[in-house]
Amino acid sequence: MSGLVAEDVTVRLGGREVVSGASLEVRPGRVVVLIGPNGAGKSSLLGALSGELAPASGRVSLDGEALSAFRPAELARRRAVLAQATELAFAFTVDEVARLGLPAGLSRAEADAVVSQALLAVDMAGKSRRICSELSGGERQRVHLARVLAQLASAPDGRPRHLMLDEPTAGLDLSHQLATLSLARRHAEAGGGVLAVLHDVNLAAMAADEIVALKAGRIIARGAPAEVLTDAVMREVYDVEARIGVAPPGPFLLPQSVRLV
Amino acid sequence: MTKTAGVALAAAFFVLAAAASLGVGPVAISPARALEVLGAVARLGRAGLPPDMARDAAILIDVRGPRTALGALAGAALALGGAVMQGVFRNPLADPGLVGVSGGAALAAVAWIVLGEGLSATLPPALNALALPVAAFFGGLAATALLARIATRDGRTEIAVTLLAGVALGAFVAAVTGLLVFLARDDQLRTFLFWTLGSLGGATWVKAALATPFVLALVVAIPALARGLDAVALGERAAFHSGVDVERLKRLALLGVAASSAAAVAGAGAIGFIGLAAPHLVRLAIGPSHHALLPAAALAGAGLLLASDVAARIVAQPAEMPIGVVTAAFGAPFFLWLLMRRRGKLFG
Repeated sequence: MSGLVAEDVTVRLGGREVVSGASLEVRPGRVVVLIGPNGAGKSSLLGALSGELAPASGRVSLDGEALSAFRPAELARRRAVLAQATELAFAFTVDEVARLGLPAGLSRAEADAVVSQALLAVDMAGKSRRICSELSGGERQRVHLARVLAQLASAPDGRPRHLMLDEPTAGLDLSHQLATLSLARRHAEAGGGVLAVLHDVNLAAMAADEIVALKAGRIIARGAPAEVLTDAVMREVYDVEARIGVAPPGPFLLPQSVRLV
Repeated sequence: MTKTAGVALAAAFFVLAAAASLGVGPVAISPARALEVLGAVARLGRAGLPPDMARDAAILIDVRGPRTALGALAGAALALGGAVMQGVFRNPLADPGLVGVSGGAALAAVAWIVLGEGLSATLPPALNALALPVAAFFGGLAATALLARIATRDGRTEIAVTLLAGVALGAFVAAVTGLLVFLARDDQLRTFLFWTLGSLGGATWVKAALATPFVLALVVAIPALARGLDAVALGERAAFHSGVDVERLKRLALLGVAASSAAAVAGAGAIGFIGLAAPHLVRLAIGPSHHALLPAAALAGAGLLLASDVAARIVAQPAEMPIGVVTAAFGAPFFLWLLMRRRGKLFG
């Protein structure tokens, strides 16, 4: 079975159960988006699927093999992860940061080509000599996205490569939010799987083939955007009253009010 | 400055400092003369040399040669160790002293000086001369090993715990060292004090040879460490995501730095500041990428220690100043000046 698969996964952090019995599949060619309120366990579920957090129970597999069987270097060739926030130490340049993603074994010319293409894709090619820490937050986020894209751009071996993005649009302006999601879509069209955590429900509806809504560590709803973006689900997941409309090809949500405790 | 130019500049500085270390002293020997003398030694052997050559050969081979070799090894080990520690800890303040090496070595040194006297009298002179450095070496290693044990749980070494435990362990070790200092006689105190300030005065080929494998091991590990250290600049999570076995990297770095710095401190005494400052100087010139930073820092550290030793030999002739005084007295103001001019460029 190819793709990233979680079966009945439970994750504990510091003795607290943050993900409870979650199952999901990220098949090659599909974009799956996790939504849910703060602290719902989205990043922890992503962490279990990336191999960073060992599940307390349940099974996580990558293309049919248990995730725990992979060494970090092998894992890095098959999936790349953009974390929520990356605090870079020392004054690395944009170009150097993008290169940190490169897998070993590329020729110099290949590496140069991969890095310049990745920087072009995130619209940072013109700033490749700049010191990363002197850029704005959104620009830094795009540099790290370029690094993650470079990680997956190694020589093709026929296996799908998966892209995992934790709030990739946070801090980005509107056009770069859309550009980031197009990159994710392009990655899926090229045969890879994409798992992304998004806070903006409308962006999620636009970007996703499947939305998975979490609350308090449990999956509340899972399905196509039109199936998940409903009054009932939004009320249950976010405690929010919302008006759901349709703007072809998909649904959109207009928040109305929140139920405060 | 490009990375290649930076490494080349550090290498040139090291060669100059080594030439000065071989040539400067009561009898000045120019590089040309040194080559001539060594060439003659290679052709004729030491016994067949004319008297003036024999004198210069003795100075070069028996006195300044081991001193230069040990200085280069110690400087390279401390600077490389500092660069690796700053990378692993993602902290610009880190240096080999932070993981207990210098404290542990100092404790073992004072323990040998104060408590080992009876044992020392029974050892043959050749072994007795090595007893202090060997004790210091194992003291440094033991302190780091203890620290690593404290900071590792379930196979994971916590960096923040390592830092804090290093400070606490350092304080405790310093207290025990203080107790031994309190018990020491005046002559023992003087021996210990001079040891802590560092000196290459007691350098021998044997000491240099003993330090070589430990320093060389860390130098050989540079390519294996460089990519991982670059990735760790992103944080441990992102380093793991990009394919680095972070726990293995930390163990390798800690072991390599502890062994090579302990060897350096054992041979040359606790010389401060080079481990902290040399990596920063190099980073300012060529940026933080470890592929170039690590070799350049090793060369710059070796050059800095040798240059400091040359200064230590000539400022108070015919007496010799402790090197630690020179590295700190010249190095610290220079480093402060650099910090004021280039603040912000240091750690990004």
